[in-house]
Amino acid sequence: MKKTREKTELSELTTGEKDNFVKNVLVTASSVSGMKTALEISRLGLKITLLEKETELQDNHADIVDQGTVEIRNSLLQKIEKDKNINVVSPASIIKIEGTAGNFSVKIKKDNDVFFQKYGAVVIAGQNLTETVPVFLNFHNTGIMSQQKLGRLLGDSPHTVSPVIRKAKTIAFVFNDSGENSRKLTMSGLKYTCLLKKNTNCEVYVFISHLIVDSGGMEKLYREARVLGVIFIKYNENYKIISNKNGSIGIAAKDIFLDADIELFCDILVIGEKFIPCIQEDGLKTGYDTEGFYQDANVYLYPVSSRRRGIYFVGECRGDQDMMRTNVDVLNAALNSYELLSGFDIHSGGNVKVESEKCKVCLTCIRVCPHQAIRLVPFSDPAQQEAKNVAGIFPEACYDCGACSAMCPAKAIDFEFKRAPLNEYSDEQILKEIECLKQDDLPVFCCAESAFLAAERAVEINLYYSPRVKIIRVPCIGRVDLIHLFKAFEQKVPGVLLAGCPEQACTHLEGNIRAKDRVKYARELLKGMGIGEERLGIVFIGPDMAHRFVREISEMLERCST
Amino acid sequence: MKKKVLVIGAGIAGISAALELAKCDFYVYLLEKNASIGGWVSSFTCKAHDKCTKCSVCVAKRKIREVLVHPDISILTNSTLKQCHGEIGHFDVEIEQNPMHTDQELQEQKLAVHAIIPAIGFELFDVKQYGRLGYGRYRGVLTGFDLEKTMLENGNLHFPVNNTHAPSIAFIQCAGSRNDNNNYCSRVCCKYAMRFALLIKHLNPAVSVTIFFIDIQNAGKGFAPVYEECVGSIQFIRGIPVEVIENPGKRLEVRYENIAQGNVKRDVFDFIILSAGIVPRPGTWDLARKLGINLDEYGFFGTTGTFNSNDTNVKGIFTAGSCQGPKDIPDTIAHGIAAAERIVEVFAK
Amino acid sequence: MIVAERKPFEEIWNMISHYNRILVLGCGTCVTICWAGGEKEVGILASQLKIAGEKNNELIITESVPERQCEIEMIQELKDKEGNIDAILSMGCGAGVQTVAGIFTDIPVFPALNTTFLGMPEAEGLWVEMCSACGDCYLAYTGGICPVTRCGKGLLNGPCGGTRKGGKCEIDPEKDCAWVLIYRRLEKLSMLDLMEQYREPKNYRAVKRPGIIRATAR
Repeated sequence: MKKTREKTELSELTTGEKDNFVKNVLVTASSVSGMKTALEISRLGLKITLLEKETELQDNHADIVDQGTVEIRNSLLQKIEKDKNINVVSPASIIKIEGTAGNFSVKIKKDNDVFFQKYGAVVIAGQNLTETVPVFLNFHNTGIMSQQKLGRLLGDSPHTVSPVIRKAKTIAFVFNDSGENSRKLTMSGLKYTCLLKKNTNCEVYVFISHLIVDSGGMEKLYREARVLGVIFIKYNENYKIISNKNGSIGIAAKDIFLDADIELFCDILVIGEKFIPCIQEDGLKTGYDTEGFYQDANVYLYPVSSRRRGIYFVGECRGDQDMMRTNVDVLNAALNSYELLSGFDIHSGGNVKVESEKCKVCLTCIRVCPHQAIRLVPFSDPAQQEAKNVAGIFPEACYDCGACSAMCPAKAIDFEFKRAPLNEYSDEQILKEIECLKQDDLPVFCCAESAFLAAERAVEINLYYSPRVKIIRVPCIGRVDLIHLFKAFEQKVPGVLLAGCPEQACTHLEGNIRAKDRVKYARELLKGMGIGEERLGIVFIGPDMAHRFVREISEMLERCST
Repeated sequence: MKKKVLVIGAGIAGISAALELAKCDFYVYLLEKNASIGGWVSSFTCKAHDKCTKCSVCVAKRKIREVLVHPDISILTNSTLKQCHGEIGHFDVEIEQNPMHTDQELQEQKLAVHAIIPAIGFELFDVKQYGRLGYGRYRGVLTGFDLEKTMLENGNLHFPVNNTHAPSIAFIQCAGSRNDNNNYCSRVCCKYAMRFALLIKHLNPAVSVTIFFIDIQNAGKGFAPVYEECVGSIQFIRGIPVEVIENPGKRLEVRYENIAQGNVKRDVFDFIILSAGIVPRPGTWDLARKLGINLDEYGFFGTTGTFNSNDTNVKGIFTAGSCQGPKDIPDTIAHGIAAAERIVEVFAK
Repeated sequence: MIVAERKPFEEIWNMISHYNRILVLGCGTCVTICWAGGEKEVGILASQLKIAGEKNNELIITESVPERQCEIEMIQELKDKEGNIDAILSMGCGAGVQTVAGIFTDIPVFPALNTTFLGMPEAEGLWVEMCSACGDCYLAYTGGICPVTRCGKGLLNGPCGGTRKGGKCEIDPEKDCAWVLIYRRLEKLSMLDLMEQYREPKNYRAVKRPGIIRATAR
């Protein structure tokens, strides 16, 4: 009786997906991609609020040739002005995003006001900054300039070239090609070299170690530059900035093809820059990649999704995207928000439930949830006649990974017997499977997204593995609780193996890392009981790796049996 | 009644587009020339060692599993497009379906669809054209695709057991791309070479791995750590070898220019992997003629927008995937979804 | 919140291995929240005991987690329910263990946790000591940062002079110097005059041990 009442109360709060979804989208601008996203979403019939950081809609990078010329921006501005679905708010920025897909409550700062506004989906299409490579930082020579400044001085026709450039006889470029974010600056740099060759009479040199040409038309542009007479010098390892007595600046590097150290003095040196993320404060809780850009580097999120359903990243804020790729991002984000808010995105999550009476409000699950699907919700305990706040899982944001369930210190969270394939993930079911283990069996907890598929494939292609291996499917190895491990050892099994996704490829972002830590802790506990650490193993296996799966389990069996 | 869309090609681009369209309440005919769907990806393998190297094959295969059971996607295998007339909103197409069994006859059917997505994908450059690299002649010379298949089927490369030499493998990049005819970068090869290099090294720590390259393409989200790992454990040599010849010991001798010393250097390997470039499918021209769309200078489907790579010169026909130009898997999936968006945008009201 | 940590298994096993019927008793309040003695931890310990004592056929482990171990009524209720037990392994804080021992007068009660300090969770799974329960609160004069607890030396009148670069503690370079934190905070609040005031040596007898507080009816 208690349970049903609690369930209805929670469901009132949490379900009713599409009907309760707010049918408008928040898009951050400051970039061509943001404006484009707004226009695309408007065509799909949704209302948009376009948030601009500056006082007027603009694009910080319009100077860089690649970013779309002024005309493109102006035509976009005109379209946005006419569009009735788009409401521009400026200058404003996002402070924090609370809530879940379809019902985000976004804290916005406009001028000096701070207010909350409801949105169904959020598209972040922010800008990045370019930063000078450290080698150049100590030089304040007037001959050193950034690509952006060169672009302004150069203009786009022979008549707009500034005298500073016209005076120069030699111009040298350094492209920074370290790291994963060097596409766009290489592209714009190449365009500038061509423009210089066409519109002026100067000599143009480019210093580069790897030319990044994997975007549309780059190889052609590279060839064009060479035909126009741009000289490319490929260097090994490092270059140095030098200057002579006359005060002119130069660059020294080791040319690979001449196998010689060369020095080149030039009138203008266009410096190596790199893209860096421009994230001031983060209320998004959506994770970063290794370079500090938005969106985790996890293939399951590509192209535009984030760890929170309903928040999308477009273009530069998620890394160095050239204009073609950014445009694909724009369309993806538009379609995703449309699907979400029109109810086409059928979401299967939300089969994990909190037993409210048992919840101790320790906030562990809220901190653990990779998708920000858990919040405190009011709950009135019928037994105690008092109202309190307890953890509540919002099904529209939950992806059924069970991380919360494995972490809950009060065992208040578990999978529900709602739909057939998922009930096997409930504690009761997993413990039953463990109880059925015989003394010689090797239980292997397999992630349903990777290792379990590898095991299936092993059967498909007739790879033999011992019948003593008992596979227990879990939604993510982050779901495997310490209790499950110890209960398995209670059955006197020789060992226990966990098999999950490779690092950084966890469908639920951190499940495999959590499992790794948990195994480490469990091994310590086992050591205290005289059980060797070799009897508890963890392996990371991709979905196709049937051979590796079979090899790992037979190695494990061997290790445990001796 | 549901709006109908024809997707030509059940590779990963076509599948991504079909899934999105079906999600948005469209009915999709998914046309496939071969007997099974999935295209190239179904022969690819996950390349993670202990860490993921972002190849996205797992995501693609998940989509293949999804499309097989989707009620609103009708998969027509062994089928090709025969004719196409009409304009956006009402295309009349004729489909030719080859028989499954020899005793059946060739079937034809007519469909009325609202829009078309050609997603016929790419073909690998025929590296036999470079006879000097020995592909097709020596057993140890493979293309990247052969390596994918071998790794998927056997889980590892079987290096000959030899006590005198340490086993070794070399990757030769840009076989058929970045040259006079194919003046573009195939975008996928540097990355898969590095991924395989790490995987092979992980599976067989004794093997030495070398990559011959022009420029290493290490850009792309999440790839920086992979490249750093490579720099530590793999030998990179700048320049593309001139020829590959089998030596008397049945190992492969690679001859390349030693830039520093100005002479020819010879190194011996057990396996040579050629990174064959991506070229348009032979059927691209034919399909473009039937649909009335333009090709670009390399023979891929052309696009009209400055930055938009989905639109063609015919309204209602949107390209998806690597038939528009070389793309890696994440880009292909994104491109497929983008093509679907263009259609949803027109018809969703 | 009271923060506790589980004892190593060997120590627990040495205490309890002579007994056959053991009740593992958790606590549903502080120690649940600090992942030391909630229902899950009780389950793990019970399971460990079962594995370690698998040769003892008479070993019976029962588990129970009352809302609070430090309440006489709750433990009394438990005593009425629980039948035959030889020993209790309490996963509560020190107060809990003693409350249980006070009620279960006939059987031994063993602690399975080390009660460590009063603290708060700084991040997921990371607890930091915040209060020493000294009974004479200084926080009003130190910008809400407790020097008694968070200064390595418990100094009351400014830093010791050994502060490391970056505002780290002389004793433990991992930790922040509490007085640097206090200075920064007071500076931000324009309350630096508080730094000038002299504080008398601390009266460590403000609460006589053992402490008793009688609150009148409110």
